[in-house]
Amino acid sequence: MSPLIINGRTEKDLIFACLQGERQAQKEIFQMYAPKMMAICLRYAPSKQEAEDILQDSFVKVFTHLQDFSFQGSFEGWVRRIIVNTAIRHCQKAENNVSIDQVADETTDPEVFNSLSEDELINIISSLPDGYRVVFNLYAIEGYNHREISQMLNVEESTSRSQLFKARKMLQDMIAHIYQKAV
Amino acid sequence: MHPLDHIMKKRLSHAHTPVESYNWDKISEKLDGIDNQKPKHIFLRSTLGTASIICLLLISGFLGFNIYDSSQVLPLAIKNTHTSDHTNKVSPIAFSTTTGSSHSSSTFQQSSTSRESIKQRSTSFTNPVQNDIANNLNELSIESNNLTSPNTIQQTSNAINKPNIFNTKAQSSTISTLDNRLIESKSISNATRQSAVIDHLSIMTSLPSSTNRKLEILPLLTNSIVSIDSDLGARKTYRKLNNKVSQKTIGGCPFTFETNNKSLEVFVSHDLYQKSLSMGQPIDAGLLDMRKESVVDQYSYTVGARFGYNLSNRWRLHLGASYSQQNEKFSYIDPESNQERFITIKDYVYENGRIVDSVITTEKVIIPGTTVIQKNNKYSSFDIPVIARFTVFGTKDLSISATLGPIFNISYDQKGTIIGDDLKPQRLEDYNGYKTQLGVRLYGGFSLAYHVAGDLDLVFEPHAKMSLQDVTKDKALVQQRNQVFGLHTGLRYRF
Repeated sequence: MSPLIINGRTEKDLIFACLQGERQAQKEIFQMYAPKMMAICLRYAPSKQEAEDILQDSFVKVFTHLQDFSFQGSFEGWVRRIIVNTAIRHCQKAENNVSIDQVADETTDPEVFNSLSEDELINIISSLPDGYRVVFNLYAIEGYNHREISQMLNVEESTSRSQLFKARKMLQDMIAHIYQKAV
Repeated sequence: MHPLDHIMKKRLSHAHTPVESYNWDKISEKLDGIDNQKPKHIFLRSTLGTASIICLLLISGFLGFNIYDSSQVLPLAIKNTHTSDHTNKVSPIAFSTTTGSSHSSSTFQQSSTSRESIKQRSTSFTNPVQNDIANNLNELSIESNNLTSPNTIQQTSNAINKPNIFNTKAQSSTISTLDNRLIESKSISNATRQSAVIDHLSIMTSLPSSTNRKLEILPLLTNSIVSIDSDLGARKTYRKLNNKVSQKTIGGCPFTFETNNKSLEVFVSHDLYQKSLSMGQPIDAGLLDMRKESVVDQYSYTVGARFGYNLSNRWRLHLGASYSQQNEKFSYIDPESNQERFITIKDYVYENGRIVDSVITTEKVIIPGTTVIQKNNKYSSFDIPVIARFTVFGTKDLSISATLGPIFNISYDQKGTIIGDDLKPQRLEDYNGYKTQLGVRLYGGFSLAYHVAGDLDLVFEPHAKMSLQDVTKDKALVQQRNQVFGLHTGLRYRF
């Protein structure tokens, strides 16, 4: 696979330039990865403003800790990991308790999802309560298991399972509601 | 996988969302702020360290060269077939004669040519420095080597205006002065000696102390002791003198005495730990930041003792034991910490004024607050250093050496609190991320030793202990490696 070239420089060249503090290279790296990372931030944050805060904090961390990147894995994976961790810390700080009773026990046809755009899906996930949203993102999209999630969030595994279950239920409920409105 | 999860992952894992340009502006501002806040202390430290080492070298070098200059020997070889007059007042010269006659008195009376030669030579200095040297010359040594017999005449004087004592008689006499001590050699009985030949002549500078005088006359004495075999008493006396002198004259470092080839040193080192933290397997910048921000370095030190043994004049081997303690202050503040309290409420059901039932409910109350944790962390290690020391140069009071060698860690122990992998404070005793044995580290430095009194030296040794591996286990999320820079201050006793 040929290396990605931006403005005549490969990703590796840009990283080395960033390490030397070249602001233009940092901007190019940001522009390259920001759209994808913003989508992640929006999934974890309850609002766009908070997602932008997470994105900014994450990229500051990326550039200030760039010397710790060992070039062993993909740079995108490394950035993504920082984004996710920053988002988790952000959500932990702004944790809101949500009553479990709010969750409706309904099921939704998965085909309904196909009628929704990515932005709509992200908005739906964003509207989940913090705890549910984080667990759902980590489990369903990032691929962590409950034991890893429990360690990351410092919660019991059963809590993680419970929140995932309820997150799914809530998502199904919200999607069904939107679909019914549309129909 | 749950169908919902599958769909969501498929749709969202590679989703893109446009980002407003002001996001980069804010990031750029934050990065500018961080750049401006970057401490310059590392640069300052290295600059100051380099400057102080250079100053140290210059000062010690200046002292060293001064002492060497004051004891410098300017060789001046004169070959003369005649003997010199022992009453010659041109005393600041050391020369040896080879005698061929037992009638020394008559022989020396015939030495006018030689005397003139010496005078000419000693008054021919035009350089002010050389004149000064000539005016202050205070050593006179005459070594006589009989070509046909081993008898020797030697004379040494340290007084400028004092006539050299140099009596010769028909059957006996070599009289030599060395620091006002008279040594008499009785038997010069070989009748075949007919003449004295000045073998070589050395002019010595003025010397500030008797020790330095001894330093310079040693080669002459050494030569003479070989040739004097006719008088046992004289030989013994010379040997005593030679022994005393030789103890002060070995090699590049005057501390490495032949008789004091062992040493014991106790020391304390003021240490500065340079920690480098990096992320382990999964990247977690938050954890790394919290680890860095939660601790502040405090005074750290090393104490220990080491035994030294001279392998040669310049090489010395040290074996010791040391205890190092790295201290840190851990601070953790969680401004959004919540305290959970459970309240039990008992409701009574009244009916006609009588309690007929009761309902007990328990409610959880969250009390927002701030958690503050402060602990003193202590990382202690016990090491066995094996250090080789090479003396670069030395004087009688000062020496500079380079030191290098491995340090074998025996144990590494941690006490206190850090931010655990779950981003919560965790006791170090329970944290399993640090090693208990650090393996081998490399020690290197420069050592400045100052002779304070007797067999005691004061030792200053700026040094570095370079770690070849992390202090954390491989599985730890955050990898840590420590480099230590310190100033070792020790008291060394030679025996």
